[in-house]
Amino acid sequence: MKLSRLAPLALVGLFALTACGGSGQSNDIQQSESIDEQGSIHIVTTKIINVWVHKSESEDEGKIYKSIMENFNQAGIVAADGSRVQMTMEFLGTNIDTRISAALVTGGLPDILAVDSSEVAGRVHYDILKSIDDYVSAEEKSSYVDSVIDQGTIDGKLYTLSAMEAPGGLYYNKDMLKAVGYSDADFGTIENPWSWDDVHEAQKKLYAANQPYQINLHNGFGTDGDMYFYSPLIYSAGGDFGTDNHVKEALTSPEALAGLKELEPFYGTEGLGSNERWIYEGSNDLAFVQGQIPFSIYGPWDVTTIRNDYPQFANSYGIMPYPVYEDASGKKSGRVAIPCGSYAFGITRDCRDEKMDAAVAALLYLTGKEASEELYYGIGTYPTNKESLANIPELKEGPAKVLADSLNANEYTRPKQIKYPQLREAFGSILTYMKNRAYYGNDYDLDGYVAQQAQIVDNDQISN
Amino acid sequence: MEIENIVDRRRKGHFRLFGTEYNIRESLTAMGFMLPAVCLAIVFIFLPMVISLAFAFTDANMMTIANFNWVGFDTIARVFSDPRVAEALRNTLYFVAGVMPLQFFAALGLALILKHVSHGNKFLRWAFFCPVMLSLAVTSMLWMNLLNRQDGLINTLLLAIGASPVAFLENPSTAMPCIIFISAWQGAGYQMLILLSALQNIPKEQYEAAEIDKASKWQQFLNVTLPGIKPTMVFVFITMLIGAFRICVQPMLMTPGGLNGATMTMSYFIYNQAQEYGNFGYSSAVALVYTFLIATVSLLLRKVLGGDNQE
Repeated sequence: MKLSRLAPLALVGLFALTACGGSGQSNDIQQSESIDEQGSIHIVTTKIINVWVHKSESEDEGKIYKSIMENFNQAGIVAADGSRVQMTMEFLGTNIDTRISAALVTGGLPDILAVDSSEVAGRVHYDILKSIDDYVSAEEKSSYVDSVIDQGTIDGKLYTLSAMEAPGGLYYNKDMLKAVGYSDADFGTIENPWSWDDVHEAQKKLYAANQPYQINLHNGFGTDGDMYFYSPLIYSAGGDFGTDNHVKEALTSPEALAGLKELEPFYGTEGLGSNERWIYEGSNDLAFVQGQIPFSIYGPWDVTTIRNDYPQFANSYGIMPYPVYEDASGKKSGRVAIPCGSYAFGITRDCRDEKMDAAVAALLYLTGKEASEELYYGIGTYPTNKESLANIPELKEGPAKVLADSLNANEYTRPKQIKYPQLREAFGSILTYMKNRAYYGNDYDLDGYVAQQAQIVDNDQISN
Repeated sequence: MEIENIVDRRRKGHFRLFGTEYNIRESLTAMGFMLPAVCLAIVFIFLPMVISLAFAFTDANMMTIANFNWVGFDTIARVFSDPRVAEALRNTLYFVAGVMPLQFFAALGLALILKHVSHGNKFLRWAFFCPVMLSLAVTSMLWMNLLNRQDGLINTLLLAIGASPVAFLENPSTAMPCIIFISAWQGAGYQMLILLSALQNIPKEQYEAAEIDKASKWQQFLNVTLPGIKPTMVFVFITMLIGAFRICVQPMLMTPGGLNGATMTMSYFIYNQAQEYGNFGYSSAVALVYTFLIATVSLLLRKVLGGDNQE
């Protein structure tokens, strides 16, 4: 092949490579002419809002976002200035963080970005998200459950809203517990929840009766599972996670340590024979729904699993509110803290001021009543819209109602810190340390280990 | 006459570079073919390496990546005073010291088996190489299930014979040996193929001569086989060493979080700093120091073992 024929090909290739980085935001406000019935010509302005979601289009959640986008675009929603709003979506899946990193350099952030509830503080600190406090009315805010507003609020300003919540609780096998003398009246309720001691007591009774007795604590569940499931331990005992650079002080407080130590009996082997453990460590994710174990600390997802795949088990199980802290005198904590939090959406710094009204309209739809319900029916996450939470028939009775009530009563969310990834890893390490305490023998020193892990978090520097 | 020829060739489109003469037309064509690969290498290999090198002297964070400060050697100095780096380095050296002999001798043993076993040779070759074809994620999940303390196959077998189950991947003292074993199991097949090819290239005459000299099989192995594959062994050893120093996926998947430091390796630490915490500057600094370490060890090893141009 002659060189003269190769050169244009090479140039095209190079241009193709360099063209990949375009942000494509130049046409996000479009004007068109429309003629009304009287024949008058009007200029119609359309603002296009680009949304990055954390799921791929092939996943169930991604499909629902696509449906929400299509519904939005057909609904003819207008912004505060009367312009039409249209939504476009990019389904980035696990690549979302990479795209965000690239966009921070090139300036191509979308108008609306999916953010995990625990990442909001970091995104705000690094000036990625804009406050929406001035654009969302008090009435609109009041339609969301408190946890959504709480997790989206940093330093008193609202940054994100969410259409889904994931309240967690204590799944229990009614049949197994009734077989050892428990009745419906004995099970925990919002008003009178079980403590961790109560759970362990029930395990002992089951063990004595030669029944399955293990609890699935779901340690190491996903990236954020440990914090999601067990940060409520700290809150329930009266502790907290402190603030950025002051984690050690908070986590080594007597309250926080007392909260953590609630799990020690479960990780220990006291009262058991050799080779036995109180916690379920098997590889079957469906051990609870298949009736193999009596307890499981889990989010709302098994409600859907049981309803869809194990309907015969539906009458055999119940959900109690997440167990509370009980002090040495037997007094139970009055603080209601449950596993909660999910992905939310916020408006980024690259959304221009003239598009803010349109972006807020899109954000409110994306996290509003219809979206919330669509996600509930699609993937089983709980609606964040109070009206939906109160009116969806499936949430008005049975185990699902307990999670809904827990969500309404919940007072805490996962810690909101810029160094949340470091804190999350430290917290996970602490739980792993507790879980594997048997292997440390006399060297096991929880207080010391917590202090060491918290110090690592505090030592890490925050960039400005 | 010779001078005329050179002038003649230059007139036809030749040029001289570093004492060698090239045809301009052919060279341009070759460069045209190389251009896409060179561009890709620049964009995806060399440029990231240069950027990473530069980041090592900054406080760059993923979230403020466009707005970083040059901090000179501060970040590098932090690497040397960070106890987590020391712990990760210790773990990595432990892994390297464990996996290198295990994987090497496994590969050599398998290669020798394949060389001498003719019955079912194809099946064995496939079976030994099979783990290499599986992704690290798949084999990690497979072994996690096999080693599960409560219902894993291995512990079920242990219980069946009256032994106590072992928390292979939960116990800090057994987790790393398990990772070493699994890594050696997965990697040996690849080195086996390279060694097998070297074994098959040893001239039969050498063995025949050794037999005439009444050398035993062991003496033949020591004096014919090993010298015959020495250059290949050095190559295999060094590539294995570099691969072992990069251990990351297995501890990350099988012991998420590094099991309280017991399985946190250098690559896993570097990954965590960059991807989980967004500390690009610090992560790059650790990577830079670590690269120098691996390069130094590799060069030293190559020097000690020899292997260059040896027949």
